[in-house]
Amino acid sequence: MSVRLFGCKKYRKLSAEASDRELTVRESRFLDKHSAVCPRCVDEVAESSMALNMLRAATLDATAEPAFEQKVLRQYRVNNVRASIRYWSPALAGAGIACIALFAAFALLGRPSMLQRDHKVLDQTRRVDIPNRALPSLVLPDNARFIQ
Amino acid sequence: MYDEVALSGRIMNESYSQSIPVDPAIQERQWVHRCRVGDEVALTNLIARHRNRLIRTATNLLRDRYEAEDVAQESFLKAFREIAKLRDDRAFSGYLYRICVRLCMDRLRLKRAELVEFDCAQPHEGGTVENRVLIEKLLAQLPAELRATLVLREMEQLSYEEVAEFMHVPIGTVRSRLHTARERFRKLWLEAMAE
Repeated sequence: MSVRLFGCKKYRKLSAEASDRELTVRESRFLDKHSAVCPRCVDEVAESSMALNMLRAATLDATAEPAFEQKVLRQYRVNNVRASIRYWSPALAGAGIACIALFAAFALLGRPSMLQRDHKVLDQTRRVDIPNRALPSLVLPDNARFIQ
Repeated sequence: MYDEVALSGRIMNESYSQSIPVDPAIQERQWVHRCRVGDEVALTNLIARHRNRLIRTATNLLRDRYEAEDVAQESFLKAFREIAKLRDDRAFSGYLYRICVRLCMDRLRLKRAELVEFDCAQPHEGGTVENRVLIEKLLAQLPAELRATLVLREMEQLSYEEVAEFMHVPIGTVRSRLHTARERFRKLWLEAMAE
């Protein structure tokens, strides 16, 4: 069997690797022999080379804008503050709830009228008649005066 | 003073009036170590050292300068936020670029393969206009992994080891992907030329 039939894949692979590393003497000889008998492979390698040259020619050489570092640093600080808030927010929420509960408790203790009591308001009292009981009498002097 | 040290890698010794060369690798290790405790000066120095190359890599992967800046910014923030995951201070560079490449590939996967319109606001770089538009159209038709491998190897001129490190895959996978990417790119280019 000729080199032409079974060497095309190997030829293309070695041709591509020729730009990446140094080929051995045996590999170089194989490339020379195959290129002499297979024009199709030679054309394909040439096409590949042209396409890759166009690709390399399209390389962009971009640089950072002058304020790039400041932009990154600013965002870094913002992220740090956000992370800190996320970390402490459950504790802050718990502390807030505890404060509200304490405030409510103090507010309830400081308002006696809100508590239920056993005695009633004066105008709502009911007169109870006690039968057969002599009421004590109050003896007043003749010149008694009542100061309003 | 810190910018000068970052760019030149030398320290001015006032008493001897001579500059003492500082190994950039050692300098970077010190900055990374200080970054772990939130030293903003060290952060600024690391950004100054890597920003241009990171933006260039992202620009060539995404073919959009403004999006590349967003990705670069996001890469720095993510790298600093998760710096505790970095075990070795010496590996910061590879860690940062790995994050950048991964973010670029995530964005590429979201984009559909459609004709890229030429943006007049962007500077005329990367060969002729027609060449650039054609290349962007061809790259957009490649899967994200193949596109990234091809761009990192052919445009950024990274070695196989560097490509493997940035993409977090074995070297054998890089070789295989590169071979496939070149073959597909050639076919797409031939189809475009035939039109």
